[in-house]
Amino acid sequence: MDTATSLPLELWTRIFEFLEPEDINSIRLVHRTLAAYGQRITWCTLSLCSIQNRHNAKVLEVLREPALASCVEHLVLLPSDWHPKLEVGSSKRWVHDVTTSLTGLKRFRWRRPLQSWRHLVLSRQGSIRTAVRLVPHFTSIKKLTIVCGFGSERIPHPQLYSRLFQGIQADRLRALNLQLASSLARTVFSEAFKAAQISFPQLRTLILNLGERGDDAPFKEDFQGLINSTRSSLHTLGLKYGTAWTLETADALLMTLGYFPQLSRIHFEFKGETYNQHDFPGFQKFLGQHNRTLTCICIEPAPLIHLTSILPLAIDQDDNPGAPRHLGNLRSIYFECDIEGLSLKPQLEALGQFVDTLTTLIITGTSYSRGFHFSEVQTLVRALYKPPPHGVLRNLKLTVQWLKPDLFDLLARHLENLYSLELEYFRIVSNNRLDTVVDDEISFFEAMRTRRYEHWNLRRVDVYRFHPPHSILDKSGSLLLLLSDLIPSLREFGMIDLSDIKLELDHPASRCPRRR
Amino acid sequence: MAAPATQQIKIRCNDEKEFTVDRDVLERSVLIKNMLEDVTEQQDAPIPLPNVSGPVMAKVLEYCTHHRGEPLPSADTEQSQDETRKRTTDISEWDQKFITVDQEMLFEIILAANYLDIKSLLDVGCKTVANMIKGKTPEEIRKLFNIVNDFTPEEEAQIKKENEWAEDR
Repeated sequence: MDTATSLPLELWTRIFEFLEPEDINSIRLVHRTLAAYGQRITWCTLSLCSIQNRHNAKVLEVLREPALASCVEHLVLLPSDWHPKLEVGSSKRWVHDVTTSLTGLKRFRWRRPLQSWRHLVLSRQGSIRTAVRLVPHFTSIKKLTIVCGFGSERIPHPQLYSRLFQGIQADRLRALNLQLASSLARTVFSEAFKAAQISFPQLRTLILNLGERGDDAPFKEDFQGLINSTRSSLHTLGLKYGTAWTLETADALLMTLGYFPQLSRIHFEFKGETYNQHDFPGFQKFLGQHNRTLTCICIEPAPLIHLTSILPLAIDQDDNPGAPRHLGNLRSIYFECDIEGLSLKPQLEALGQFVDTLTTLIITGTSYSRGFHFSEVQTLVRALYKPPPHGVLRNLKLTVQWLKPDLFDLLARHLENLYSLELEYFRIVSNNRLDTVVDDEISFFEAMRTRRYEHWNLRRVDVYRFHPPHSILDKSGSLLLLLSDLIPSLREFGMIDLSDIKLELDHPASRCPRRR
Repeated sequence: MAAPATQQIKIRCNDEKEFTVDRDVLERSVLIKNMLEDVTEQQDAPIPLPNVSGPVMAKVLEYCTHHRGEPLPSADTEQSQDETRKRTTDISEWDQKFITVDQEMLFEIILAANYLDIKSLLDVGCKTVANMIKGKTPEEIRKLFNIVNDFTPEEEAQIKKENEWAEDR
């Protein structure tokens, strides 16, 4: 026997302590003895951040292998969000199954003490009752999510909410996400917040998703207490509306919201109704109030607003003669929109006003949309072009109609400093076959092979079919590897379906290359 | 007033080789320190060390002599330094020169340090082996340590699969 493999396990354990996981993986492939030692080290402590995470469930499936199961000595389950479901029988049974299958288990910790939880998620009224019962223990809650009142659930008494917010010390909350059915929303806002005078002076993120409009839906005056108490601290505001909340209601609310001096991110999600920009004065006014502070706008889906509402016409000169005409600090734009429904050229050219600040641009189609045509992408990248080395755009995601070689040439030429590129496409074609609608992968690959993008600084690329969604790997298995040869700087590839572990394990083309 | 003379201790290795060493040098070894504390009366008989050979003990004593007088790590500091120790594989210049030996001697020193319970020397040895392994492929590691591949293709595939899971965790 050679000297190295004759070292006892305890000494190899000590050597492994000084090695990175990838080196331990290499050692495991050297010799049976070292494989067994490495296995013990690799699986000795297993920490799972959430037992409800699908990926973790698959890890535990792998651990059904008896040899592996015997290696796990310490199991730590650290769900990132406390959830009363963890208290009930089904979870306990699950934990029991897991712990009994790990035959080498010496120590098991399955949740943090309540005092250390920072995010509380309450999804049904039963969980609110549980939380109220335990509320003296929640001393570190900074983020609260409540999803309640939907379906046939009985609405809990408003005092329950008052007790909850008082108990977790609402004045220390940093983030509040409320997804409430309309009837409950009215109760919470008018009874709990207003009557009990609960305020949120440290709140930085507020997301409201308030269900359907009805006779008992909250009125704008119900928001006043909440809005007033968060005015000076709020950084992120999200408004997401249920099916029957019309834009007029949303717009009226925006009209009353007023000015938040710290606000830098807005996230709006509306149901798809087509409106003209002039039908939406509240939104116009809101943008006008915050045009100097906003760094990120996220709207999905946005057929109703159109890019023009936000970009060149964010401020109506007639109404605000002294106001600047654009959002001078905008660094990120996320739109999910109906590309077909836009008169694109002027809107895309309008993006040029952000050429000095915009680092992230995401424009994706909706399920009924088409993708950008090549000429439209041309307009877009020309608007955002700055001669090297001055381009600031780092992340770009687009839905394109055709994936063709010229598209990569165009992006490499105009967006040299791009760091991450994500392309959803409808069809893959060669440059010469645009007159047809059939996929022509072979010509595409032949055309791509003649290219090389030496000066493109791209580090990550994701390419996948928009609809039906599937990875390009399924068909050709080689586009991403081909791109790695063409773009020397490339470090990472993306895949569409990371949940399909079998594909990841078995398909050689799906492995990400190691850092060079 | 003259300083008290350092007590001299005799040790005997498994090849009958004997060393007479200052007590404070030998007490770098927790094993020997405990043995000496257990013996209340001074005795002339050498302490037998059946798991260490003469040449290896000579190297160990060279290390202990160089580091004599340095504070021994207590249990508390050991625990607090544990994370730092795991992260760094840096070895001081003298230690690096000291541990530049052939592979057989390196593993003998590690075994001796483990037996004699000299934690700092054990770390130097293990870090050296770890540094030799870092960044190498399995084939390169086999070549380095003269190890024969004893896997079947199926076993190798299984380990690769497990490794991917471990990377994903």
